[in-house]
Amino acid sequence: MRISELLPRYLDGVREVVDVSHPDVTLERHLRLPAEVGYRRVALEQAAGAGFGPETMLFCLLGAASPAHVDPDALTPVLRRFSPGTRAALLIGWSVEELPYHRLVGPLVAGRCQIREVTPLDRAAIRGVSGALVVERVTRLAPLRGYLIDARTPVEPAGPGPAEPDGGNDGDSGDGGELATVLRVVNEYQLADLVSRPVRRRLAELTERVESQQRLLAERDELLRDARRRLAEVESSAGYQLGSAVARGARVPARALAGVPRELARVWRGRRSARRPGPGSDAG
Amino acid sequence: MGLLSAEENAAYWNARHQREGDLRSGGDMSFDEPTNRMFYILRLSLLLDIVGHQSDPVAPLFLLDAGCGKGWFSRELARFGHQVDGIDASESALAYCRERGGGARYFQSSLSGWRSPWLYDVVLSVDVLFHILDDDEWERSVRNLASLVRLRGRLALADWGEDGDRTYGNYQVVRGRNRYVPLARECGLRFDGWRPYAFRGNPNGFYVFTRTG
Ligand SMILES: C[S@@+](CC[C@H](N)C(=O)[O-])C[C@H]1O[C@@H](n2cnc3c(N)ncnc32)[C@H](O)[C@@H]1O
Repeated sequence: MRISELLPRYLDGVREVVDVSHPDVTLERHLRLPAEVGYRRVALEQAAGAGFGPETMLFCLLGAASPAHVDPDALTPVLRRFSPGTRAALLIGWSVEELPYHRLVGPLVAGRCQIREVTPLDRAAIRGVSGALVVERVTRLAPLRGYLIDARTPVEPAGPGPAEPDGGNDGDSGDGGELATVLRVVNEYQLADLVSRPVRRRLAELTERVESQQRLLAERDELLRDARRRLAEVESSAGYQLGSAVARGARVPARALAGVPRELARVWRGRRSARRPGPGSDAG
Repeated sequence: MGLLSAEENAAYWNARHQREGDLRSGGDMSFDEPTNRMFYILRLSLLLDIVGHQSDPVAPLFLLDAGCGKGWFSRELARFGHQVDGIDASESALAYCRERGGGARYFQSSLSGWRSPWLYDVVLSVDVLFHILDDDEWERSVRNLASLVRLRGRLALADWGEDGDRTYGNYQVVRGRNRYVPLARECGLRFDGWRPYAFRGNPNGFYVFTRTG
C-alpha cells in the first residue's frame, strides 16, 4: 500500500490537508492529492491552538527520531480539539515489528479517535516510513471497513440471489450490527491476547537461543581460523615438506627413487632462498 | 447411483492424487493438463481480487487453503508474499505438497476438524465443499471454516451459484445460494457476492463473505 492509495478512501468532504510534520520533512509529493484538496503546512504548536473540523485532514509523521519525527504525546492537544468526523493520517516512523503502540493508544483515546485503518506501507515508497494510520474523532463506533480489497476493485454481487438486508460494504448499519462488531472486537482481543502469551514467551526463548548460538558460532569460527592459521604455518615449514615428500615416496615406491630426491632438492632450495635477505633489504 | 461413503471418498481422492498429473488431479478431469492450467490461472486471478492486491513482507496476510489438494493455489498465494496454511484429508496430496515446498505449511485435516489458535485474514476453499457428500459434515465444515475468519476477514467458498442442491455422479453434491448465504450469516458473515468462474460452461464460482460480527 502507498500513502497515495490510502488517502483517497478518507478524503470525502475534506477540502484541505494540514501537515504538522517537522518542517524538514517534505512528503507532499507522495500524497498525490486531488486538485480540489488543498495542502498547507502548519507548525504543531500553532495547530494545537486551533480547532479542526471534518473539512480538514491532519497529516503528521510520528516516530522516535526527534526532531524529524513528532512524538505522539505532542499530538494529544491537537486531537482533543478535533470536532466529530475529523480525520488524521499519521505516518509511522518506527518499524512495524517494533511499533510501540502503547505510545499511540493513549493519545488516540484521549482525543476520542478511532483507528479507521492501519496498514503497512510499501517500503520502496517512502524511506523510513513503515506504515500509516487513519484515525477519526468519533462519538460512537464508526463501521470497520474491509482491508483486503482495494477501494477500486469491489466484489460485485453477481447473478440472481437475495439482496443483502444488513447494510452496504462498510459493515452493518443499525445497533444490532454495531453491538455484534463491538463484541467481536472485544472477544477476539481477549482471546487473541491469551493465546499470544505463550507465543510471545516462545519467541523470547527462541530469540535468546538464536543469540547464544550465534555467540557460540562466532567463538567456533575464531577457533577454526586459529587452527587453520597454525596448520598453514606447519604446512609451509621445511620439516613438514620434507616429511611429506618422504611419506609420498614411501606410499609409491616405484616413483620414490626418482621423485624423492627431486622433492628434497626443491625443499632444500626453498629453505635457502627463504633464508636469503629479500630484495632491497640490507638486513641479513 | 448411490453416493460414496466417507471412507470411499477419502480413498478416491488419495488414489486420484497419486495417479493424476499436477493439475488434473485437483482440477477438471474432462480437460487436459494445459486446459486445466488456464482454469487454475483464471481462478487464481479471482482469488487475487478476493484476497486483495496488497502484500507486505513484514506484516503478511494469513490464509487458509482448505482442501488444498496438491497445493497449486497454496504455492501461488505464498508467492504473493502471503503466509499460507494448506489442509487436506489426502495423505498422498500432502506428501506431494511437502516435496514441492514453496513456502506454505501443510497439515492433514478435514475441513470440519482443523483447529488453530490464530484466525485467518482469508479462508478459501476451492472445489472441495461439493465433494463433501454428507450434509451434516458439509454444514460442520462451513461452520468451522467461518469460525476461523477474523473480524473483517474474508471467506471464499466455491460452489454453484443457483439455489438448490444437485447431485452429479457418485461424488459431487453441489449446494446453492439458499444454503450458503443464510448459514454464513448465522456465523456473523456478510454476503458480498458470488463470483462465477466463467470458464467453459463451468457452473461454479466463489461465494464471498466478510466477517462483520
Ligand atoms: C477437487 S480437489 C481440489 C483441490 C484443490 N483445492 C485444487 O483446487 O487444486 C478436492 C480436494 O478436497 C479434499 N477433500 C475432500 N473432502 C475433504 C474434507 N472433508 N476435508 C478435507 N479435505 C477434503 C480432497 O482430498 C481433494 O484433495
